[in-house]
Order: sequence, then structure tokens, then C-alpha cells
Amino acid sequence: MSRLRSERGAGLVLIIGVIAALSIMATSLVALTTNVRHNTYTDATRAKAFNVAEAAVDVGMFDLNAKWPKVSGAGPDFTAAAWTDSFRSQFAASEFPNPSSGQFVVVEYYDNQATIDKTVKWDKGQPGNDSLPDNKMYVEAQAGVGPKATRIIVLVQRIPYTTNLPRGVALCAGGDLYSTGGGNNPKIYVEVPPPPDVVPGGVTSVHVRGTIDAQDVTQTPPIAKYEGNAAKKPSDVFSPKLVEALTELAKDNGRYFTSAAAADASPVDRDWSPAGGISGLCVIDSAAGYTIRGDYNSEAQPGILMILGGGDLDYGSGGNYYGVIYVTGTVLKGHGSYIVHGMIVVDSDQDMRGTTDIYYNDNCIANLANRFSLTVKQVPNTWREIKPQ
Amino acid sequence: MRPQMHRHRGDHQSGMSLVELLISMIIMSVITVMILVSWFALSKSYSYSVSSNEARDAAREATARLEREIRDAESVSTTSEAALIRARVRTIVVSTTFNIAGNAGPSTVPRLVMYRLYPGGELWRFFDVNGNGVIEGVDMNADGWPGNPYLVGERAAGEGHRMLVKNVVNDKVPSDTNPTPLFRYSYYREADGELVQDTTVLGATNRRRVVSVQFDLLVDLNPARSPIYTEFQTTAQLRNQR
Repeated sequence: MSRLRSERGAGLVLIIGVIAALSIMATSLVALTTNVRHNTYTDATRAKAFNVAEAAVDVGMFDLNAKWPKVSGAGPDFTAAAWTDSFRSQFAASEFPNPSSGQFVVVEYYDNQATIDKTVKWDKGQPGNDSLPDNKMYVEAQAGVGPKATRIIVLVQRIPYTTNLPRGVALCAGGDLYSTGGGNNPKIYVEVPPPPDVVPGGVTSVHVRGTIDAQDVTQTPPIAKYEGNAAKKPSDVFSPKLVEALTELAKDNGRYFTSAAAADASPVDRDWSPAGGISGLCVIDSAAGYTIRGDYNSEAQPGILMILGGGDLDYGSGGNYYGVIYVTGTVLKGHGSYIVHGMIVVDSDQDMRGTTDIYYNDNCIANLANRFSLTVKQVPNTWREIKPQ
Repeated sequence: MRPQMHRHRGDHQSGMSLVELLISMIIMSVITVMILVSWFALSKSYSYSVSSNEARDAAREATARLEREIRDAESVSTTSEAALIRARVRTIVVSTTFNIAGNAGPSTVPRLVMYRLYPGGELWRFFDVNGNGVIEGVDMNADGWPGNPYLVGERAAGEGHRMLVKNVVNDKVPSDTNPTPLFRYSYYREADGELVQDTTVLGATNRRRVVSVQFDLLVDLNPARSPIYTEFQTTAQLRNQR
């Protein structure tokens, strides 16, 4: 009887043992599955952090293009809450959770001098010369998503828009040049001549496809005058390609307007319109034209004003414009003593019978070469993924 | 009455018949067999899960590391070589600064890293440990399959050697005569500027035009019961050559 009771108990022990072993195996399998899921999650999170960091670099480059820091304090502020909030809003928090520690994204930029000083946040110099700007800066971005972080560093280069405008041309008119009957000649002067190594003899010229009604409109030597077929056509100086490119550039940067009022009311943009209004790059596409008044731009920061749509340019009062003016209509004689420092290209007539002057200033033309950013691109062989901080 | 009752119960217990015993033994045998079958099946499953998990982890780590090193590839400024030093079907050699201490500084010189798949299904990684510009102990130019098998000895003798993944079956899938390329390269062909994909890119000029590398790793998770494999695919864009 006693032995029988013992045998019944052995079955129970056996079952308990088997169940225990099965439980251990099941637990192990669950643990393995969990581990696989964890690894997958880690991989996905790492990829997300990397993608966010790359996006941050791209946005940083885009913003630097709009506000390339030529001087201290002129660049974009990536620490501003508006910037970080705007960037964060592009990524759903459910899919891109905030990092366990640190910020979701940190972007900084600094100059590429021989000895890196991250406090120099403008294009101050270059390796070998810390006071000679080279249009290059480092961009560093770190992104944190969940438990993973990625940090990227890359040297970026600003590519300025090159106008390829010919040097030494004070005026190019597709029609006639009028200068008699009002005001005193000469009315076209040389303020800064082109360098002789750029333009043979350093000679400034005036090109009029029609006729010049008074030869004393230009300052006596050194300005050369070309009339009729000997003169350059406006499209030779201000090519349709250039018009198209500048128009696109203006559209991309909020500098394209379809009325004079809209242009006058445009806000200040540090790079594209330093004083608002028609300063900097301004394209007015209106048959109604534009009447210019007051001072715009400077020799160091010249501008480009384009009047498209066959509109005329008139002068409303006195003032100074530094840069290049391109008009598809006529330049009217205007009212008041207005001076354009740089060059004028006009598809039709240039009427200077009032008291307006042109001062050819080669510095204005030369400085346009580095005036506007076309893009900011990565310098090859400088992209690196580095250890997150 | 009481003694009778006691006796009756005792007689019942001691009277288990042979048939009853046989039936109970049969039932117990069936239960035991079921338990053993379950046990072996679970053991096998457990073993497979562990080994396949390890294989997956190894392949995943290798893929991630390879992707990042290719992505970071940059040419050495003092040479005319491309960032992609060799671009072959089972071998890739790049110069990269990935994971080098101090690589945030511009003066960090990239080092050579090579990944190569050997006959037998082993993927190895080598790198230039001493920074002298070569990976000693390996023949970077060795290629060809299967007519020109790599030197078996270079796996252990190569500088910075490390086996990353085993049981790679690219050379068997879909067939021995039609293996799956481990690497494929997308580049703008020098001759006509067309974006093409190839398993081998020869010449520094064309290698400079490589914009991305497709990595396709087939790992057998259960070599005893082939062909069961898992495919790890990734595309690394060369950030410094795009």
C-alpha cells in the first residue's frame, strides 16, 4: 500500500519537472525573440538618428546659403527656439522620439581656420590665413532619437552666383541716347575704371545701338563710344540666360515682384535686400515700370535692379544707386539729380536729357561676382560621421 | 462489519490485474514518448533559435559597420587614388576615417579597410593597423571566382584581420554557376556619363564616379538544413563622392 502511494507521487514529480523544463525553454525563446526585436529597434533607431542628422546638415547648408556669415553675427541662428521647433515639427514624435538625454538636434557652424575655434561663427579666414575669407565653413550636426545619436561634420563651400557681366561698360542701350535739351553734359563719368589686365587699356565704354545725339555726353577720355552696329547689343551684355537665371534666383529668395508697390514694401533681408525695398537683388516684372527715389546699396554691397515686362525706369528725385540696372523698356529722363554708380543696360532708349548721371564704378561690377549665394555645397572628402557628444 | 469492510478494500488494491498494468504501461509509454518528442523538438528549436540569432546579429553588425565605413570613404589628399580603392564582386577596399579617434579634426588621415568574402562562405575584414598605407599580408588585387581562389593563409595573416560572418552562401545561391554578387556598384560611366551598375569597377577614374554600393549578404542560418538563408541588403551612398 505504501509502495503504491509512492508510485503515484513519481508521476506528479515527473510532470512538474517536464513543465519546468518547458517553461525554461519557453522563457528562453521569449527572451531570444525579445532580443531580436530589440536589435531591430536599435537598428531602426540608429538609422533614424542618422537620417535626422543628415537632414539637419542639409537644412543648415540651406540656411547658410540664405545668410552666409560674411561678418560676425550675420549667419543663421540654429540655437533659436524658432529654428529648433520648426525643425522638430518635421518629424513626428511618435516615430522619432526625443533622445534619452540631450537635444533632438544640435547644429553649429564655425570657420575653417588652421586652428579650429568654434566660437568664430563667420567666414573670417582659412587655413594658412585666418583673416582671408575663403567661402568655406564647417557644419556640425548631431541628432538624437531614442537611445541613439549620430553626429556628422562636413566642410561646406559657398558658391557665389557669377553674373559674368562684362567689365568697363558704363551704358549699353538698344535704342538711342538722348542728352541734349536739359542739364549739362557730360553725364557719363568714370568713377572707378576697370583694371587694365581685365579690360585692355582700362578703358570704359558706352554702347548705343541707335544714335548718340550729343557726343559730349561722356567725360572726355577715357570713355570710348560705340554707335550703331559697332556697339554691343544689350543681349550681349545682359544675356537672356542671365535674365532668366537672376529671375529664378529672385523668385527663390522672395525678390521677384509684379508691381512697384510690392517691391517698395519688401522687407529687409540681410543678404538679398540689406535695406528692404529695391535694395540688393530686385526684379520687377511690370509693364508699368518703376520710379526710383533715394539711396540704395553701396560699393561693397552692390545690387541688381531688373525692370522686366517692357516697363520703363523713371527717376522720381535725387539719390544714388550702386550696382547694375537692367531695363526692358526705356530709361526716362526723370526728375531730380540721380546718379547710378555702376552700369545701365536698357533694351530701348536711354534718355539723359534731365539731370541724371552714370558713374561707371568697376568695384560695383567686381563685387557683384561675390555678392549673392547660388548654393552652399559640401566640399568633397570632408563628410565624416564622428562620435556623438 | 468493520473488519469486513477493511478486508474488502484491501482485496481491491491488491487485486490489480495484468490487463490494468499493461494498459497503464501503454498509457505511460505514450505519454513518455510524447514528452520526449516535444523535448527534442523544443531543444532543436531552441538550438536553432540561438544559432540563427547569433548569425543574424553577426550579419547585422557586419552590415552596419560596412555601410558606415563605405559611407564615410574619402580619398587621401596626398594621393591620386579614389576613396574606393578596389571595387570587386567579393572584395571592397576603401579609405575611411570612420571610428578613428579624433576624426573630427581635418588632419586625420583615412586608413585602408578591406572586406572580402572567401570560399567556404567566410566574410573577413582587414584594416591598416599601423597606418602605413597598405594592408599587409593580403593581396588586394586577388580576385576571380572560383578559378583564382584567394590565399587561405591571408585570412589569419592579414593586417587587422577579423572574421565577421560565416556560412555566407552568396556563391551557392541561386546556384554555383550563377552566384549572387556580394557587392554591386552604381557609377557614372566615364565613356558616356550614363549611370550604370556593375559588380566590378576598374580604374581610378571610374571608381571616383561610384556614388553608391549595394551590399547583398546571404547567410545560412541553419547549415545542416540548407538552403535556408537570410538576406541582408543595404545600399551605402558614398557621401564624399556624390
